[in-house]
Amino acid sequence: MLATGGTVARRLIHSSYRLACEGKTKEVPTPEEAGYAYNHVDRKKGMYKPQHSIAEQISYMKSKSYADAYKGLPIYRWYKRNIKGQSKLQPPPRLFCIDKHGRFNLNHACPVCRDEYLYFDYRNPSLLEQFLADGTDQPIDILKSGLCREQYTLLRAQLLKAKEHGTITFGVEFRNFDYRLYYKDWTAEPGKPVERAGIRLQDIHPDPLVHFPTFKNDKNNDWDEWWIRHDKFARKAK
Amino acid sequence: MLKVKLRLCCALARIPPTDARFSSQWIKVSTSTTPENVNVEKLFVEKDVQKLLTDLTEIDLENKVFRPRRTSIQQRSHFALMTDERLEKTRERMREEARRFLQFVPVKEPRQESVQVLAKDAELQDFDTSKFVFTDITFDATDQDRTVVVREPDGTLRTANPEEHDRMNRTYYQKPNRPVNPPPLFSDPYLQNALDKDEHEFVLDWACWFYEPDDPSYIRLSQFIFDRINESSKFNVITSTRHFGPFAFYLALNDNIPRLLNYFGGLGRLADCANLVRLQKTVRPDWRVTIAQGDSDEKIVKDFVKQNARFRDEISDLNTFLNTGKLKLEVEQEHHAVRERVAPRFGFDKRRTRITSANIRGADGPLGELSEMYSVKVVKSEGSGEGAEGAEKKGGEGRGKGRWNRRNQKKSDDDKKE
Repeated sequence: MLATGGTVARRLIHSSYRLACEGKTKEVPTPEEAGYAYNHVDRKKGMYKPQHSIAEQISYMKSKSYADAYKGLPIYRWYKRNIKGQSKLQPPPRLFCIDKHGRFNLNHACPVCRDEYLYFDYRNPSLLEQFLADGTDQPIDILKSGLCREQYTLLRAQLLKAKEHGTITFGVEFRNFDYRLYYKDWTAEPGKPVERAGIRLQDIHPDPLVHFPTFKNDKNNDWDEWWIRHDKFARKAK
Repeated sequence: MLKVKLRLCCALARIPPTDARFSSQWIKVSTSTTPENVNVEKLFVEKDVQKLLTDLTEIDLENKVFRPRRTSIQQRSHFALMTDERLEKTRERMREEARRFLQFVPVKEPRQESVQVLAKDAELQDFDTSKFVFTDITFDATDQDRTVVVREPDGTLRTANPEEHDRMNRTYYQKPNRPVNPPPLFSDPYLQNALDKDEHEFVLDWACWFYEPDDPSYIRLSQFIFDRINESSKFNVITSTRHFGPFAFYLALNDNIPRLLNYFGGLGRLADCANLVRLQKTVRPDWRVTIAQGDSDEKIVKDFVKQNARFRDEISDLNTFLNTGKLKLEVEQEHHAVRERVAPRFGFDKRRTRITSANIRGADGPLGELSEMYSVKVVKSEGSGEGAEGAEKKGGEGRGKGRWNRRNQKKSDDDKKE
């Protein structure tokens, strides 16, 4: 069954409504008291996903059961899509794992849908950070992450939200000011504009030893010399 | 006649009391003895003030200017083998590059909010319930001189006020990380959370990218953050950034430098202390306390301490350094050592090793409760007399999460040391 735009929107509204309702979070018991556990039910089709608050999620991600389940690796590293052949040639990701009624519509749900405590939220940056490409503020490829399209959309939305709320920081573009625009009696020229991550080591440290000469094609050289000399050795051969 | 009077009344009512007293937004009301009618912008670009501010801003290449940040593209690390001479040259070039990254954000007064009425067309009254904004999006118009006009519902055609102007710029000329509406990070409680995590530089960087430097909200935000830094004495979050110049200038302008002076004194940086005092006396000239031509750094600082006896409590570290020549770190270590020496009288002796061959396998040993699960094997290696532990500690929570977390990690290490 394909989800129409309306149902996707309804689901998004539903999930954001759930997030909005959790403004007043109750006192969350410690992970040991609450008895968090990884949900080992292997056939989830037709079952409902339990709903948990963000405080419970954060507490779960610090608990021992989480560490035991994922062993300190990002959660998508433990997930393998059930595909035949090369990963390059895999079919497009599925649209959603949980249907509009909140039930799993398949058994092998994506890494975020399958864990009952996990969903993307800007207040829990540690989950979002697992899906960021190393050294950047951009999410990894959807096929690499193994997420369904719905979760991937939520990931991007919550990532943007996390940046705007300051839970995930990044290198803001550097703004070069031309002081002459701001002060009347400033006459000095602004220096060369700079940008973050704009410096390359080749510019700072040009390698002095390795010198590659430019390719010289046979232009403007007197290769006709060969024919001039040809007479000599051609006659000699005779 | 009546009309003129009414307009005058309105004009008087609109001026808030602070503006009536001080011409500048950068001078706070709470400090007295402030020279009135000081031109802050002109003062900021004066040559000697700029030089003092540049000298005060140290250049920390690895931990501040070129600290690992999340960028939008992935980059590889580069490694190069060089001679000492070459390394020094490369460092010098990096320092040059860093100087560009430390260009100060301009200190500006808030801009004029006035608008110009272009036409009043009574026949267009109530043509719609909302305003219409017309923006010039021709190719050669710059962000500053772009024409933006607004048609009010009552038929008035006026030029846009600066806020609308900027908003139209953001709408039609989008740049990364410059959304149309200001992000929630610039307002509480998210601002508070970010500042608690010591992300002052990130917030200020983004604010100066998002707002114009003469935007009233930018000035308000930066002053709020500066005040927070000064109150909590967390100066190391802002040193060696492009915001340190405006910060020091703001403090000097408001006669509020003792804490920063104390910070420099605690680190034993006497030249910076003297520069800060010089800066304050340049910004707020006072004929009673001036600096003579040939004064040394030490004399300048000592004179300042003498003249401002009211700050005695706030500059204790500086006083310690001036009197005994000891840095803050050394003093703290001494305190620590003294506490350890005193401790045995009240409790057990901390200096004696508490892990012995007798208890290393039990619950008192390094493994604690885990000792029931793992057997401890003691191996004597050549270098150390002590045994090596059999079990390894499990690596921290989750993935390493990249290099930018190193900063926080270091901090926790420091905490452990203390």
